[in-house]
Amino acid sequence: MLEARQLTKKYNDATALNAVSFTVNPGEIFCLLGANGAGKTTTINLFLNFIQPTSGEVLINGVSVPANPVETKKHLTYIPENLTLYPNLSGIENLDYFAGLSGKKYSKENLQIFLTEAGLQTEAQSKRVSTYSKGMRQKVGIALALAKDAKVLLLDEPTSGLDPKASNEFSELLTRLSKKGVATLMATHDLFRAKETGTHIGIMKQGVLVEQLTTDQINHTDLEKLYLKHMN
Amino acid sequence: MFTSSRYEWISLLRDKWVVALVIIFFSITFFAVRNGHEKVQERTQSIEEVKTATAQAEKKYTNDIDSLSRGLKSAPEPWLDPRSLSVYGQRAGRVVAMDAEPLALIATGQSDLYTHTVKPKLYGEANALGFSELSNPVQLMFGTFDLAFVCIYLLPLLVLAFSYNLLSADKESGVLRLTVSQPVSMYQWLFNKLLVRFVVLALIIILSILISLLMFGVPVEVGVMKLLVLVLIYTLFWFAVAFLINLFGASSGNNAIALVSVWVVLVLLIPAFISQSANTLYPVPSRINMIHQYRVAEAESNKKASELLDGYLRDHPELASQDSTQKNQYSFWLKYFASVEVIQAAVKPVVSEYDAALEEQQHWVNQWRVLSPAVLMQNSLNELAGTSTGHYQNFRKQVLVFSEAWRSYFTPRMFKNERMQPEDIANLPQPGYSATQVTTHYTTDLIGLFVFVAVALGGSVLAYRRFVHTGLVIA
Repeated sequence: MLEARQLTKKYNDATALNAVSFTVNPGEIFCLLGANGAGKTTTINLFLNFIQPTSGEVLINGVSVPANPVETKKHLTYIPENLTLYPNLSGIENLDYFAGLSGKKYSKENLQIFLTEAGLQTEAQSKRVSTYSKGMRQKVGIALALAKDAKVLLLDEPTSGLDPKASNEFSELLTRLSKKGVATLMATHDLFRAKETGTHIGIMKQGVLVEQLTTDQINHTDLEKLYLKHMN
Repeated sequence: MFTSSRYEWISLLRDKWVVALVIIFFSITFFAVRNGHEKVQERTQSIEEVKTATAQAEKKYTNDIDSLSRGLKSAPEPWLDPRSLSVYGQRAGRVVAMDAEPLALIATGQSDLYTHTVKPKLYGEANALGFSELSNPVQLMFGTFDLAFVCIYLLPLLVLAFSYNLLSADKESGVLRLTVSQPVSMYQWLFNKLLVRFVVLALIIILSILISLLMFGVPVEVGVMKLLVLVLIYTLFWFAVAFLINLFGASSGNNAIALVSVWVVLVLLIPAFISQSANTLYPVPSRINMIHQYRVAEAESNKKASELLDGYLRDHPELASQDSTQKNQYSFWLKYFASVEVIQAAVKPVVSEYDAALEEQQHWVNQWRVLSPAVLMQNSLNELAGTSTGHYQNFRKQVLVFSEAWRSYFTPRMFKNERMQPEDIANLPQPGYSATQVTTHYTTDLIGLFVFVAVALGGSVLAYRRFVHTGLVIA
């Protein structure tokens, strides 16, 4: 579903990403670990066509992203680290707006069902987003994934700054989505969440994907040791 | 796209921007139209006063001639006798008036600088120098607070305030990241946002202008439609500029600075430059110099008036009196006319230099007005209002034609030593002024504005390719 082939991104002389290759299949949650500046966000930006690769290929559902930037976004939902919505509109209206940009039109009842499914309390749904916490805004993001019937989820440190309960709820939502066959790529610093929620783990260092493994191959302690070994 | 337009509209409403804009724009439009209306009233009133006074004088002279010719009244002194052609021609002149056009209140134009009534007489400096009391005929800009000022100067600022952060605000708040991750062309999305704002502002403009004009009794006719079309295209141009600048992906602050700079260049600097260069390249001869030359020629000719009359009669044998035994009662004036002809010939180079300079300036401004949409607008609005330089130059021409007709009615008869008879009054030349002779440039100005819109939109396509495609808008 998500595929990077020898993906390289250079800024003048600096190499942000060097020959990174991996695949995320439907139902998998691929967690990218690594220090700040290791290339996690660059990788996600390449899947979104926010930037174009210097060389290599980046594919969603077998379709090249730079060649088909609009087409490849149809089944994709992106939740940035700090998901911002239109503060003057309510949760329902924001969802309607962004689903509308993807060409989806739902009744108010359906929109409410998506928001409830994403865990947003009913009474908050018609309030303006300016009153929302970060966790609530991210739930609107998940509701958007449901409304778009997204096959791909791109997450950039979604749980940073969330309290443990909200973080736990978020992980549960991800697990539920992956059971529906969604392929998820998530950049994170949270080793615990990565091991708990993820199916695959990739460790990045200075633009290189130095380690790829499945979460059932390793326990928490060993994952931390492996991570620190690469960082030092 | 319908959903996004709807939410754009909802957001605008909740932002209270639209309400503020309605209040601001309607107030200044109303105030401007009121100002224009007052000016036009003053003008109409002064024309009426002159017309009334002239009509009264005419009536009085007609009655006097009637009574005198029927012997009901004793004849006054010869220099007061209305039956004398020289007295009638001088004192009972007719008024050529430049009445205000229906839309005169939208643009003051040149109406501050020129007179709207002229009363050509039989003799006097006025025939030669007339009413050319202007120092800077290309004073295109910096008029009063009229509708043209509101539309040309203030409206762009409102448009810019309304759209300078169309893209940058979303980028700065972060919501753009979510928008860009949707399967939609950014160009189309932004254009759509812009279009919603344009439609909203267009409705505010149309309603404000129509209501203000109707309140001051201007009939909604073709002229008003032409005015609205101009203003809307001009507004569209400023939206397109805001669109273009937004696509460069800079911060809101930088966008604001860039847009205000564009405004300063297009609305202030280029018009000032065109106006200044016209004055520098084609300077109008000093009026003082003109009067001086006139006086010198006058003094010169007075010295040899009799010789001049002989020469004059040689040039105009048809005017020579058949009956040489009778003394012509107008001999003083005839000598004077002969000298006037000489004086006019002497001043002619200066006058025609003046006319030529005016024409050249006009031509220059016409040619270079395409450099700025503000000048195109000012030109067309002045023309719609009937207050353009062209209108006043044309009025001057029509006055001169009438002035000539008035004198040629009297002069030959004075040579024949005739007097005014009651039945002559009906045959006097009648003054008239019509604005329809003025060539206007509405279509070319409109095309010019469209070209500006096309350039801004074309630029936006290029900017989009360069900046959005390379990801600079996001990264």
